[in-house]
Amino acid sequence: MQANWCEFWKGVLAQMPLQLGVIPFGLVFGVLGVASGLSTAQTILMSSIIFGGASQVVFAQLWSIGASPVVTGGSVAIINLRHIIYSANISKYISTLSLRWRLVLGYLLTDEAFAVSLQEFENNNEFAHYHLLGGGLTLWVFWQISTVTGVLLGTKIPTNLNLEFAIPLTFIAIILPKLRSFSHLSAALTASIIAIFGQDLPNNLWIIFAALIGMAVGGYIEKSKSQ
Amino acid sequence: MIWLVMIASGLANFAARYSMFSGFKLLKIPQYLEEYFRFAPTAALSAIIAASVFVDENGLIFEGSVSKIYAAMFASCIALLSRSILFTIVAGLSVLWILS
Repeated sequence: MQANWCEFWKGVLAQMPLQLGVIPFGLVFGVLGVASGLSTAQTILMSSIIFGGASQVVFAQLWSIGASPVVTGGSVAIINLRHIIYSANISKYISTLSLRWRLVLGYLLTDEAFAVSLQEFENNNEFAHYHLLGGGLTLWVFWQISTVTGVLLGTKIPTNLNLEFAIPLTFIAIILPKLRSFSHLSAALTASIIAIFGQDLPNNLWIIFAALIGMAVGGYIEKSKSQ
Repeated sequence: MIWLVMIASGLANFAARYSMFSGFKLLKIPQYLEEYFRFAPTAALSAIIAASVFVDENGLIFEGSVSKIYAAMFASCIALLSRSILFTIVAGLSVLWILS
């Protein structure tokens, strides 16, 4: 096999263990999407159109409580700000590739794919982009299959099980293990307090305010620490 | 309408991922902003957790939320111990079902 495709398959293999986390998340999204009132087609296609676990669950949650389009879209955008950092981290390797490559890798860049392939880029692996392509595609395929499976299961589950509570539970599982520094704790606490007491703000604006101010507090503390 | 918002969100998502690949020099984000962006998921997801746990359907704080608070507390322990989304959901929902 040529060296470049060899690297592609290495990317696929490296991504496999992470699917243990991706598959349940995709299932949960599929079940929740239907439970929160999205149609089957909307839930399934969202996994291709948005292709981001937390973003999709937030979208479903906010849409189901009747948040305005601007608030829903704005919240998804805020959650995705982190991808700018990922993108910046590997841009010096990727900006020399053809437009076709850059578009495809841009679409496939996720937390997991970035985490697994970053090392290859840093080691100046000539075919690191094939590694990222393999990892990214693997995640994409597993994400689509688990979403569809979740949707099929979701249409058979009774609605009185408080299943929508799985949304905050999912986020607890994602966020809690990461709250290891004072700055992250402060960001989380600030955002939580604003979210609870800002419920009376119009158009569900609490989510935007809480996210932005929490972000500002975390960033500020981190900055004053490093100075 | 929902399709429009979904496609717009998808494009925004793609823009964030593609941003630094484009090769435009204008798009260099300053270092200090990166520090803030790193906290975006923590802040946004914490806000949603807090609102769904502590506020009930009628917008009342704490009143109708006791069983949800216990469920979230137990799920948090499981999340820290197992780091598994699946186990965390099972733990939280079990407590919620038992208490309500």
